[in-house]
Amino acid sequence: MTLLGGRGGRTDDWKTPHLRARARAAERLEGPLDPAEEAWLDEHLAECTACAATAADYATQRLELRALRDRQPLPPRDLWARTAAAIEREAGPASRRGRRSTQSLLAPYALLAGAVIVAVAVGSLSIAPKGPIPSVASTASVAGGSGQPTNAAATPILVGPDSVAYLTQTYGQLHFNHLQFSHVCGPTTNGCETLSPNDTQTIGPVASPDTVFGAGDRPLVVVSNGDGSGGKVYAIAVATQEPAATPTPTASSSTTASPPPSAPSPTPPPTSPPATASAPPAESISPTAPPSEAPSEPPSASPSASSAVVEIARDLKVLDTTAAYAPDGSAFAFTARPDDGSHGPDIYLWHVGDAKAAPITTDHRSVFGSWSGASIVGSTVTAGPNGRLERPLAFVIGPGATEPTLQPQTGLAWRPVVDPHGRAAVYWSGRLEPTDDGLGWTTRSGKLVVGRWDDVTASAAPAASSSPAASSTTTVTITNDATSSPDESATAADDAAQPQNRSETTIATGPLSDWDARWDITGTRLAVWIADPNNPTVGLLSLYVVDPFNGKIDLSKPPLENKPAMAGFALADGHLAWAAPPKDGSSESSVLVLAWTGDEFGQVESAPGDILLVR
Amino acid sequence: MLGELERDLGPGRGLVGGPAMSGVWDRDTAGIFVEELFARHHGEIYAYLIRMIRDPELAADLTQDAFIKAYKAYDSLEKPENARAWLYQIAHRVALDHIRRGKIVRFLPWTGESRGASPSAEHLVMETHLSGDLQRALARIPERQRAALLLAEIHDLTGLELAAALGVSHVAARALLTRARESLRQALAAERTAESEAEIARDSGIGAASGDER
Repeated sequence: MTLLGGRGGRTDDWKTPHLRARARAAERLEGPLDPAEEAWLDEHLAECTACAATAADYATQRLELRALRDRQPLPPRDLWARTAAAIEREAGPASRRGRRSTQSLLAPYALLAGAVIVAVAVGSLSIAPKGPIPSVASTASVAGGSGQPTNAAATPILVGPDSVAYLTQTYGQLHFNHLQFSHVCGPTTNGCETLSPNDTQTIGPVASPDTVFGAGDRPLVVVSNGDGSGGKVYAIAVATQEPAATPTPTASSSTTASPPPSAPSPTPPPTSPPATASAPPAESISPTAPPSEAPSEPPSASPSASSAVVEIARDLKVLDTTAAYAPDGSAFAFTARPDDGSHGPDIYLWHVGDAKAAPITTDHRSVFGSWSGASIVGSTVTAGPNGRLERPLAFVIGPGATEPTLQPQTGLAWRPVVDPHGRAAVYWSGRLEPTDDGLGWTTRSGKLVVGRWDDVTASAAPAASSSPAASSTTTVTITNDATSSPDESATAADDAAQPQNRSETTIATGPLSDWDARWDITGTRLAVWIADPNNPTVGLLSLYVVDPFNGKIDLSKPPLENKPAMAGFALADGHLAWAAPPKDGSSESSVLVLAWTGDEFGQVESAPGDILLVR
Repeated sequence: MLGELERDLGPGRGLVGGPAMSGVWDRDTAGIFVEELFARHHGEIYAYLIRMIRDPELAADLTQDAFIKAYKAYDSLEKPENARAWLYQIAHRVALDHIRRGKIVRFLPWTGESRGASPSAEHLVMETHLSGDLQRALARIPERQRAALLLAEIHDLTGLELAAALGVSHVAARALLTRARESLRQALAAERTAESEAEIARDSGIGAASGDER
């Protein structure tokens, strides 16, 4: 068996070097560690006889177990006869007519008794390195000074080093925080110590941020829909490395938001004036400008020497909660319409390194749903038989495409969020109606579902490693006409809302004012947030488990069900984070994290603050 | 059909004619599918279950249950090359379901003595090919950790197969495996200490210190 070795975690993650050594010694059995960690481990084992003995024990017990590979217990001779008979009973009389008898079924079994089993080799994922990890609670220690495990007063769940990012704002200054953890309490945070951020960087003043999106080391995308002065979207490159000899990029020296020095953009920097060069100059904020007033800064705040804030869009209103970086982090897609209300929404795309985001649809009724590999999945609105624009229709914009590929086989599908395997999607299945201002659409009748996703372009789509959709930001023409549906057959069968053979599981029935759905990178966890109809800034968040083989979702026992949450959450492999609504009488919320390992789930909570979670 | 299998995928690569083909459950196809699946994998599934639950009869029953479930759900397997991990996932769930319902083995320290209809120590050692102390040590650790160790080390599942079989992310599977190694090390140490203490007690004629009293 092969697993990637060298899990994340820095040298100061561990309570003792002995614990670190034991964990690394166990991990080394699965594959090579990082060279530095390997060297450290060898050095430690050379000096620590107890740890060396532990490492030897691991190796010995492994050999002992592996020696059993070719010593398989023999099953009862009649096992197949019993199983076949049971299957016959399950199948019922109808099948017996057409099936072979138990006796005949046994024949191939006998012939294959010595068949060789070969495991299927598949790839694996990597873990990003993480920073120093605090314990969740003082009572949750898992090791004493000797390195021997001790009984803990609480029952912490080890979830591996992990972190959540969020923004806070004090005195007009925006701060970027990392909350890191390696244990959680379960199933609630009662009795657990709250966590404070491990590191905080001051970014600078950004007016009224509403939403922030992130993706690893990509620039943060901060949406500020403004207070009447016009909405803006900023890209903020937050360098996590120490300011070094490399000159720090500043917004004032270039209109291009540069990624952190340690993370070169996969797209080359523009060598010619950007297509939107005539746009108003980017509003730049000197990253080195000292905070005007910040007397009560978090104690660990570091200077903002490496942050660059660049405006990538202005005079826009960003719509819905759905926006996302491409899986490879090279581009960011969102839905917006002009602030002046001159027309409805389009999908915008910003390539990391470009000066400006640009619309890639022009029908003014398209909204972003998700990425599916390098393609953008969106939806538009088409006319029903009564001529009203009310029927959603999904489409896919492949890399470099100038026209979307409509997906009528999905039926009525609004804002589809496709899973990482491209076989299922969460979407609104039903009718739409214009919003009160007439500039967008909202749900009318229908339901939020998980349904099968059959991308008709998938077979012809370029490999997932291709550059994301519209690699040079081209405009895509949605060719469907406002007065006729592009899918005549669907129109004919109009009020049969979905094709008969659609397989859909209902998450919520509508109408819904807003929602947000995200899959984790493994496709085995799905988080869905549904807005409160009376106050769409808050809603209820649930987490569902997805069967990795058949994509079926267990809605009956979600690990998290209808938890009050502010709009926006972050879902990663191993954790779900959200901001809890402020409690009565308070304006501050806290970050709650549900983390898991296998079937064990636990929570941890941050200290309260004015929090904006990085999605 | 097996000839087709070998031609298409090479020896032992997986199942042809699997469920992904039609997406519609069909009794006859399901029967042929599970027949092939049984022929290829029933031995290792039985081995996994007997090492998980330490009861040969029950392991046989659960193996049968696992294949019946596979028969019923064969159309949920999309890729034939995933059949083995898919089957392990079913078997793993079958085992955990029984453990959690308390219908089967209580993973208490094993006494080495037969209790009623339970298998004898010698019989179980022969059946599972696990040494007595390793058997007992495995029984001491949480079942999910035990499953991770058995599947990774004895049944040679790859990282993603292991994750799929356990129904967790592969990062979680790796963390589980790391914890399992330490749990097993401690459990083995405890077993061996208790064993040597019992031996000393027997040698010195102090009571009948059987494992029941540990």
